[in-house]
Amino acid sequence: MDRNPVVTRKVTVNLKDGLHLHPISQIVQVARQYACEIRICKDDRSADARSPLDMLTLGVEFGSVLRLEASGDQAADAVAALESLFQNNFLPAQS
Amino acid sequence: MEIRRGIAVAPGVAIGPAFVLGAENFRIPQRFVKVDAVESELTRFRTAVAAVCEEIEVNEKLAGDRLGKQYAAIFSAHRQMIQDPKLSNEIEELIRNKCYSPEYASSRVLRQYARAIQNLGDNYLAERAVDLFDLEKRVLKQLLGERREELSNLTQPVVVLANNLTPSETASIDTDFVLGFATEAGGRTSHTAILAGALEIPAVVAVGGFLSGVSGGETVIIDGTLGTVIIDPDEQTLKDYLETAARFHTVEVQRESLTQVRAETRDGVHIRLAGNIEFPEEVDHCTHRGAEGIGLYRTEFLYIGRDIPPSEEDHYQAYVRVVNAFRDRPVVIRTLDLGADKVPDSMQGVFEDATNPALGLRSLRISLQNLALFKTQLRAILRAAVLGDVCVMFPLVTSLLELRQARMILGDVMDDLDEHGVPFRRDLRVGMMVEVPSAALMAEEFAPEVDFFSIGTNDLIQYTLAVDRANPAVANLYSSADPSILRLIRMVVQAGAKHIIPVNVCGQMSSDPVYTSLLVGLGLRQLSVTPQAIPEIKQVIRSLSILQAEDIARHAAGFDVAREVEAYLRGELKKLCPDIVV
Repeated sequence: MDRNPVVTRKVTVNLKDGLHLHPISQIVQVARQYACEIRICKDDRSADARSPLDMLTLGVEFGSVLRLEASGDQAADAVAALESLFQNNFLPAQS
Repeated sequence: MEIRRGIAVAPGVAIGPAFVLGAENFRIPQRFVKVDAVESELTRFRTAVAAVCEEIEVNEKLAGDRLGKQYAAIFSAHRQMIQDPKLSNEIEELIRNKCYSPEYASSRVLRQYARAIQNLGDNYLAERAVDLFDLEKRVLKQLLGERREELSNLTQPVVVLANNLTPSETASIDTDFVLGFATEAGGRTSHTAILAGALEIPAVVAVGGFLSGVSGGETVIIDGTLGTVIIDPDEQTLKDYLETAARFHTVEVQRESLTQVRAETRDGVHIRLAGNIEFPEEVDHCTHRGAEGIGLYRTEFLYIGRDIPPSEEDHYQAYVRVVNAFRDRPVVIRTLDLGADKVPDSMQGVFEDATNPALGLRSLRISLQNLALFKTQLRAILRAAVLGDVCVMFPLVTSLLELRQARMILGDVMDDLDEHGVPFRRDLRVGMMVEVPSAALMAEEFAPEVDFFSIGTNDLIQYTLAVDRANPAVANLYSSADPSILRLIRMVVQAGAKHIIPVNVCGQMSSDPVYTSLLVGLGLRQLSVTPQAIPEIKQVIRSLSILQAEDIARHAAGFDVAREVEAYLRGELKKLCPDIVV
């Protein structure tokens, strides 16, 4: 179990319209690159980061604080990649 | 016998067996499947999902190429949703454990998610439920099969009844087998209606819900002149209509005899009558009726009903066909006018995102934001112009800035062609549609910067009267005869006269014989009309003198409401040409 510790990170949602289709789509794209289990948690509920519908029904609004949670292979990398999405406010890296 | 009234959009009478096209709202035929069919039903579900993915991918590419990355992103989000492992698990579980049919299971699960999202309370996110309903529709369409394809596989003549026909469906109609059609939805100036006119088959739209009472195979009469649909006619009605159909044919033949004579008023003033077309195939409709060129060549059909945007060569080949038919007569090619009511099926989702599409990204605005798309078309137009008298026309020009931008891009394209030694015509005439009230009001300022005006009455009326022409709840407020419209047309004609540039009218108003004398009286010497209206309009022109027309226009300007103007003009037409039915 120690080899697969749970990595968590808190992020704040700065998107005007909340976590809507485009950012969710970006999360899915990132999550699919990792084999580990990744969950997005809001309050007492959580969603699979590979399931756009699951995340959509979380109803994440502007200002929400989310907990990113991953366990398994490359869990730390996965969380870091997702965190940077939030930090860049889901803007494309180029242009 | 059941008689339904709608809006007449293409004249004539069609009599034949009913052929009902499925409504947009899919009915789920069965909720449960047999236990031993579960495996095959699961396969059917997975095949449908794969097909939906493929369909979305195509749209994604289309939207990306035509409108930019941000639009493609909508589709990639849709694709991810339909591939959501949780979604397919839930649906497959219902099929496997509860023996739900894939249709019922998919609809149920997707609707559950839609409801959950709607209940979030957050406005923006709640609206995303629409995306789920869209997915539901796509999946059901795949599961239930592309029933609409039947339209292209007809083997015997029928009368088509549908909730609505998309422009591409209408375009694919085989006129050997489709005698006429009637739709529950639509409006007089919807694209489908324009197409029906182009195909020259009787059509009635905006009939309202009537399909539930028709199962197919019943005898149906479509009266595209009066705007009625008669289901299961009694013997007498059928007999009357068979006679009407024969008489209609005779009048048509008589009018054809006008082909060779000029569109000239009694006092010898020539009114140039050109044709409006959509497809290159329609040039024949124009030439055999004696059209003096093409006053409006709509180019949207190069974009609609295909998976990838047309190449320069696609444009060029289409233009060449039209130009070759009219070597010495002008052919006015209008640049892309997509948006609002003319959205390619594959891109519906993109445009629906705008809350007010008529005021959104459409027409010239799309071109100016998608220079690659615009330049491709301009290059083809400039090249085709070598072969004849081609003019280019920009739609929906709203401000001088837009016009100047468009002209500048045209100039860039010319320089580019020049640099590459590609033959083109530098002196082609450049005109603009006057279809936004701002352009009509500023006509004096626009006139020195263009070679011609063409008044697009459909949009001019919609924007001036703030009436969506396709919305049945307000369609009765839409009138070509409104005094404000008459005044705007007069302003444009006067600006044209002052700066000595020709003014044309190419909206549906010019194809309606009721308005011919008024338009001539207002000073128009060019009309561009749907090809099948040419003989009729010519007949009105030939029974008219300029003095008479000016008198009619002056009198019409004296009324203050549309209804009075219209009644007056109808009365005058009856006096001029008693045999024209309007």
